[in-house]
Amino acid sequence: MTEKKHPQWAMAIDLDRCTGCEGCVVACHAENNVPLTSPDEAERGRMKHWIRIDRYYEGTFPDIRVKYRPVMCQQCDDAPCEPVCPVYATYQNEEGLNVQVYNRCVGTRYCANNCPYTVRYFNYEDPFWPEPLELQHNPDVSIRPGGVMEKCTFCLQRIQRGKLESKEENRELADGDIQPACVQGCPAEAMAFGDIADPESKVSRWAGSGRSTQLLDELGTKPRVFYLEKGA
Amino acid sequence: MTPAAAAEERIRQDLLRPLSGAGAGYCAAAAFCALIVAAGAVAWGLQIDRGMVVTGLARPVYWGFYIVNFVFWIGISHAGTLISAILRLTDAGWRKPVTRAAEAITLFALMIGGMFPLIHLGRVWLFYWLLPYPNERLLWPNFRSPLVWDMTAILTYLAGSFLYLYLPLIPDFALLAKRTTGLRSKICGLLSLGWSGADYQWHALERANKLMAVIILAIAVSVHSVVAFDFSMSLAPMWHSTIFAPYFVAGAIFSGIGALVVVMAAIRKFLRLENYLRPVHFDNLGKLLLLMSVVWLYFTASEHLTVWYGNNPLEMNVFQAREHGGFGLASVLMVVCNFAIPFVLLGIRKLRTIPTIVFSGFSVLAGMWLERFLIVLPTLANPPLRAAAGTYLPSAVELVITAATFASMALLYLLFVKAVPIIAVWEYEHEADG
Amino acid sequence: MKLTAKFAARPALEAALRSAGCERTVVYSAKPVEIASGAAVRPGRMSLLAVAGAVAAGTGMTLFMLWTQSDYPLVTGGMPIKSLWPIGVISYEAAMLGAVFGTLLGFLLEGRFFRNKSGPGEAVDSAWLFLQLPCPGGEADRLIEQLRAAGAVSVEQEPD
Repeated sequence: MTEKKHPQWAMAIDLDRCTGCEGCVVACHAENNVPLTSPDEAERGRMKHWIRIDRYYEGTFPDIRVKYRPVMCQQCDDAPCEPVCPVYATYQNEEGLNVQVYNRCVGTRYCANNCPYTVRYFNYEDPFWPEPLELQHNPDVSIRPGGVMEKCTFCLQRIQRGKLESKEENRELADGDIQPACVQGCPAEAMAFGDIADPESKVSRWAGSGRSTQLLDELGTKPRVFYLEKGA
Repeated sequence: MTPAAAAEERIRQDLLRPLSGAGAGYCAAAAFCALIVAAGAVAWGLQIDRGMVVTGLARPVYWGFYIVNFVFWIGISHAGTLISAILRLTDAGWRKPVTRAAEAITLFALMIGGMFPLIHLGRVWLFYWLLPYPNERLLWPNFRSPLVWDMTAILTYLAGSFLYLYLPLIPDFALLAKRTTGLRSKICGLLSLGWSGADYQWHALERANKLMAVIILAIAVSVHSVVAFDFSMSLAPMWHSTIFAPYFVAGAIFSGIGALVVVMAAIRKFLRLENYLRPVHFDNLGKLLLLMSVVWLYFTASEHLTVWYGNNPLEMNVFQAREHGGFGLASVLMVVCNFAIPFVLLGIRKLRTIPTIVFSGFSVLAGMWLERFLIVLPTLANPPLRAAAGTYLPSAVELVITAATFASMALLYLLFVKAVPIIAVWEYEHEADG
Repeated sequence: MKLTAKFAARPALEAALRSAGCERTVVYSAKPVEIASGAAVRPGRMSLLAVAGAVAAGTGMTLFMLWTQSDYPLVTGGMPIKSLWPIGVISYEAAMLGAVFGTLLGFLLEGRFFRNKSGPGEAVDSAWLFLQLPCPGGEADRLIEQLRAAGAVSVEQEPD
């Protein structure tokens, strides 16, 4: 295990507030240069969404209730995807992030098979954007070539920028200084992001609430994303 | 010339006869196989150029036909080891005309199977990153990854089975060097390493063969266990299972014997070696196949009963998928091919003839391919989060490459039987003598 | 001086070996011959070499893997940086590879390969058995007589 040091990034999502609007998905695509998929390819299940909304239906038609669950990389502490990579293209960094090194990836796809959350996405071919969308790329995020895996980074580039800015301004990083695109874009304010090692942070308070659960935590992956839902 | 010497001479001529000349049928078969192999190469080239988009893979099924073929061919490679090593160690005399044919299957199946981890890579041109070579960033491969275990195991097996095939070939190369002329004689002379037939060389050969039999057995068991570890080290439902390693090893031996009887029947027929590959060899292999069929059923039943009784929802998801729909049909076919057909055809003594044994061999090959398919696919298509479930249909590229592997096996074998005697001349004579 | 005697069958060869003594003789044949009285039971170190190869390669690879892990310490899956369980498989395979190469080395040494430059001799494709034995200068005639008495079909004399 790595020496635990501040900050330890984590996220909490209040499912009772989530409306399933997919604003987070769009924000993520724009922020992280996530490639678009042609309708044909999408139909085959090749769309790439670093964050996606899983829909679960309860009851029988017409008395039906839809439950939405935004699922992104859970940044597991004991991530099953990491040890199976033959070339160390994915590993745990000191801030608890499960990082993906695109340049190092050779594309065995073993990590994706071993991810219980199915949140890793493979570039089947070189990415493309229909005009004029290629003009809106985020310069802080690299474009991933075909043949490599990619996944949610908790907006590593924003974390980096936040740290640099606070350093420039000679102050401590405050809770809420850094917001991944999905958190910032959530109109229902259903998401919180911050340092889980700081007991006063919003994400710590949410994660400590009685409604807090973790996805498939029985597998022992120690995910860093907390889902808040009634009746948990 | 004494009568014994004359008999020996006849055996030599019989065993060496297939090496000279190539009929129209042979050339046509070789050309046909080469054509399919070329098509496979073109398909792979297309995949490298355009990316994995030409395959049928889509989330969540990230491994498809390629990995199924990989496990299948590595399984086939266990033919040589079992027949040759176990029978050599137990001094079973009847093995002698069979050994080389089996060892050649091992080497070729390994070469073919070993290609698949490369073919399935997203960026195959960077495959060497898996090797521990010094580089300017001091980055090493992740030795904890089962894929690196795989690579080590397969390379070790490749080296071992090559040597195991080559050692008994040395006296035959010397013989060939004597009996042929020109370039062929020169090459065979070089490959015989200066074999003179001296008693110390025979001693060394015998010791080395026995030692290699022990070592190759230890390697073979580990290789298919490691292939099983690729699956069982993961957290995926119905992959994460302790039974996988022995289950895979048993299945590998099973399919290996299936491949062996098929190949032997072809050799027997086309090279007219009926006097050497006799019904007793097929009968003995048929019994082995029957035994492995029952062992296979035992493992399969244990695996399924454990999952069903445990009733873990994530695992039951996959279990149900294997029982219903297209996968369900494949499951039934698998049991028919792997158990029902061989059990009836080989279990009833009157039915156990060369044609039925060969038919059972084909049936087992098909069944074991399906088994690997059913291990790889349903688990991937039914991940723990149900909303992420998906399907898979292989693309033309994957089908062509799959066909090319079978053609490469045939092609390699066709070339092999022209290059060296498929029955070890000295071993066979030794046997006829004793 | 060397003598090479040609025999048609094993019993004659064995008789010749008994009368001539077994020291520094070599039997050449196209297939392995098991000689009852032991033409040359040569002690072998091949299994020792195989074990040595296994130990060397296994240990070497294990140490190398542990070094790479501490040289470039990356945490994966919450595993310890130096973890023996997951590298055990590779240690095993490396040991087996070492054993394979040890066996090959032993085979090449014990079989004295690569020394026969003239290509395979007559023995590799022949039903005859050949017995080669050293012959001190003055004893040639006596030895040839002995070999013929034992049943040699022909005896040839050649310089070293």
